[in-house]
Amino acid sequence: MRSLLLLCLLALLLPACGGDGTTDAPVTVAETPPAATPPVLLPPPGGATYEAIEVTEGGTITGVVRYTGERRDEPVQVDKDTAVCDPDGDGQMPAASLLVGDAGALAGAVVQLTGVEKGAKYEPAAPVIDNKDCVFLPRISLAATGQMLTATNSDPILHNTHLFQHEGNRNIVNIALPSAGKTARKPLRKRGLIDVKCDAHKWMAAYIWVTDHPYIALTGADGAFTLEQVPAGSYAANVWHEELGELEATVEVTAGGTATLDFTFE
Amino acid sequence: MIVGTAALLVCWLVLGLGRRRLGGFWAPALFVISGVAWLALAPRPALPGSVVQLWAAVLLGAAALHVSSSAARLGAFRTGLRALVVGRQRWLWLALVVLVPAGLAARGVVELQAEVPAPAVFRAVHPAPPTSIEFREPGRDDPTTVGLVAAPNPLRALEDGDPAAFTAHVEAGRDVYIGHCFYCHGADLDGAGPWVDALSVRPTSFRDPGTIAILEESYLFWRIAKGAAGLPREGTPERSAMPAWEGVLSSEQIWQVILFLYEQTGQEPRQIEAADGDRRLETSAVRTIESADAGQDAPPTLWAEHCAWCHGADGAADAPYADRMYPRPRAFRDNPAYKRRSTATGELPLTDDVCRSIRDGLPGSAMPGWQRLSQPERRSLAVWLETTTEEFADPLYAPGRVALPELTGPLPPATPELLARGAEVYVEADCRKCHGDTGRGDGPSWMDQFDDAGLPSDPADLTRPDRYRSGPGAEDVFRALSTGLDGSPMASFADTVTVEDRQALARHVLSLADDAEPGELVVAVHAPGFDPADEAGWADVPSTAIALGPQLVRAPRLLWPSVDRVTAQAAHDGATLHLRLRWHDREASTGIDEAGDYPDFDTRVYRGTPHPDRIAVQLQPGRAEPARLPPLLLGDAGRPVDVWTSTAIAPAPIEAEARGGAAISPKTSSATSGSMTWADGRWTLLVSRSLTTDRTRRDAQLEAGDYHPLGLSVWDGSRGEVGTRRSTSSWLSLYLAPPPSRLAAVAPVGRALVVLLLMLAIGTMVDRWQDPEAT
Repeated sequence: MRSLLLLCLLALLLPACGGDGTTDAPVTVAETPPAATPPVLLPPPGGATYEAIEVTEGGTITGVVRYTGERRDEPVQVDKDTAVCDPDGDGQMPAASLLVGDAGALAGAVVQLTGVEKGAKYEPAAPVIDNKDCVFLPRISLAATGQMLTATNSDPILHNTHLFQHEGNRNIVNIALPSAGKTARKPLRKRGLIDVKCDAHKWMAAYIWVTDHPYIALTGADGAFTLEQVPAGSYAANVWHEELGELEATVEVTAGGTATLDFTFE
Repeated sequence: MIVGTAALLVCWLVLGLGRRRLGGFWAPALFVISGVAWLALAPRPALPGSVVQLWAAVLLGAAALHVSSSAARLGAFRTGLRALVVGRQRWLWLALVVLVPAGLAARGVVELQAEVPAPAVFRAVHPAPPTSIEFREPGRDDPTTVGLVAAPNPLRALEDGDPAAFTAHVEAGRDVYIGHCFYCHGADLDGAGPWVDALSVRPTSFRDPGTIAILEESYLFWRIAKGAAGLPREGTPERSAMPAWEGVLSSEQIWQVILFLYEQTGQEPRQIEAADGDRRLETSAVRTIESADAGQDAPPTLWAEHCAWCHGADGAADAPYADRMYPRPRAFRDNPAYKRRSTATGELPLTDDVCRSIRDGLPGSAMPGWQRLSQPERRSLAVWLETTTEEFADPLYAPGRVALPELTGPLPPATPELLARGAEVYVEADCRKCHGDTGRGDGPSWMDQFDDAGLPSDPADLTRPDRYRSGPGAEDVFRALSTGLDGSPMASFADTVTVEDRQALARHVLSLADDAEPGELVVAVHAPGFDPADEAGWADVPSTAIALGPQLVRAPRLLWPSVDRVTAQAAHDGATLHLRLRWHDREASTGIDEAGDYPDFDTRVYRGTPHPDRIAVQLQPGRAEPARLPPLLLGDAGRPVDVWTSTAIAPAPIEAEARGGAAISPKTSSATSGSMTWADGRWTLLVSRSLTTDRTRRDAQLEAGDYHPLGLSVWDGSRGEVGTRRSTSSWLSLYLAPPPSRLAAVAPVGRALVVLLLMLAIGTMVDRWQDPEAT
């Protein structure tokens, strides 16, 4: 009888475990769909496929890019991490987006041939973008497809290096560089213009032009550029500037000759 | 339940077979004990105590009847009882005499400490509809009469008559659904919309075969047109937030959305038999969902049915509804960037990553989890998505499509050392720049953040793991820190912070979580001499996290509110109630524009608008009467609510009155005092008010022991929230704990004593019985 009793008590315990098993700031209005960044009008730099060949008796294209319009050099407002970004405490840093020298010479313009199908092999130095004093250095880089971009930080604060394919504003890569000495390397796999931003400091901007041919050049303080070893032929050329947009031209290159190609933004 | 029932049947079988061995006392006693135990333990959900007691009495009665049915049985019972009390089972009786009263006393003491239960509410779920309703078309004042009896959906005939027109009406219904219904009833029509947490009555799941399949279409028309406010008396008290859509939607739009509900869920409306006009169920069977197309064509079909509304027919997120969602649904076409991945930043996600996002959804966004779809169905969608972006086929991207090695395996446990290191990494990695010193997402750069769709992208409020886009677990946080959330400003720290530091940081981030229990009951503890200004005093007061959602009923509506949680604490001393409400808001907005001018269904996202932050606590005027609640959204013209309100520009709380609409009118005098202060991304409202006032009918009269109906409205002025554009809670309850009474404390002991005496009396009585066997 005792065993029966125990059996019943045990059975009574079962249901318990069983269960059924069940400000002053400006107003920001983001319209949707958002205003897209203005598309770059160019076809992708280089042709659909680019063939690297031995160029013999290539020609040269030289020229100067000028700007004759109104100078716009409002300083950039700096309101974050001011101890590092704004050591002189005036709340601003000089503008770097539109640098115009003597006689309108325009620095920071990128001249390139478009639709090039074959030509010299492109082996530029791998791009390095440093975050220093809260600006990207250099502001404009040129790179070959497949190269590795190195992003570094020389400031003792967090920066991030956030790359967007300009066309479509597509996110490419977003690297946090939380303190000085931090470095990361990422591949540049697609041709075209890349916008580089730092989400922590909205005034920071840089650009990378990625091509698979060497017929691309960045103008310096004199506004001058040179494209060398261009196979003889007729080419469409283009100049891009981050603020001024684009201009297009055509150019004839003869074997061993030098063609002149000047651009003027107005 | 099944196991428990089986055990009971086996037990009774054994009792039946072994009753002779058990004897005349143990067989009926065990019959009653096992039956009561089953009643108390097995049914899920548990039966109410009164029901258990009733059935226990029935079982006891049955046993008594059995025992007293013959002299022999009675004799056997007495023999058995005697054996227990004074015979050879005496040890068991002695144990029972000690244990039963002790157990009763202990249970009583535990119950004294138990949490206050929320008040129970009973109502009819599907009350009978009226025979006809007066329906107001948008833009017209004169109502038209719509009959509800035997009234078919006027568009239903097109199903056979003009299939093309029928399809067009279903599509129009989908449009209505996304614009008006989706926020609560969900993208999968399962009653699990983005704001479901803020609703005290869960929205109807149209996929549930017990809802629209057992209702006529005209019933749905009535419910949509008249909402919760139009329920008959037996359907109340209805804490549902279902709006009345007449005046907003035309009758045709309502019939269209009804068609859509049935078409999308594969259910069919209840039909009326025409022959005798009798309201009878014809068929309410759920149409079996065709599984024939689960083959190769599955992704486009599933995509069109479930995903295309927001993500676009071809994955470009250009569907009209994408504009209504915030954050904006992901554009997949020609876009290699995925937020939730286990691969390095800039790399494509694994198919498993995308499957997981489809399964779990992205918390804090409009993307629900699609557990309803089968695993192969979800996978087919993920595989199809890979065809929308050429990088997936590009060999250059193949080598990077591997999970970061550190992401496999669990995180080390959250030891104090690990947490301390995590706190250091939080500073070293400058997380505060966006997420703020306290993790509330209010760091100095927060306002500069935008996503790749160009929309404001607020840094995550790290105290809210339930809204982390990448998932709420420590592994999820570690993954997000390592891979970044591509497309958002959240960067990858994989190259620049060590694995160990990232693990510590993940643990630290989760340690910032707000641990207030979500709930709908605010208990004001009884605390004589409570000083609301003393921070330490509040530390002992329990917190309730109250969920808020957008005000979607009165125009202009708000679609995606900024504040979705208020943490409430309350204490009273018998004369004054002290209420402390806290909510996160990245900036104190002290603009003075209290009017605003916004269109209805405005889909824009604002930052920096010049309205003041504000909170309003609404209470039922007079004594608590939960059965006669005023309308939730600050009352209406005939049924006002008592309001205690503060703003960023007038931080001392005042007592006011609201009658629906946008206006809150101050009363001539206020018994309220307190302040509203902002610090580190958080507002704190302290309001003290006497429990009773002289305006006994217009002001809330609070009393200890009452459940007083309470609701909250919050406005984030910098996000375009003003007037009817606000977030709102459901009706909640404020319970004022009565002062502890001495009687209550001794009651359990008293009860135990009574039982002890009763048992001793039985013992004495049995002892005096003549031993029937001795005669």
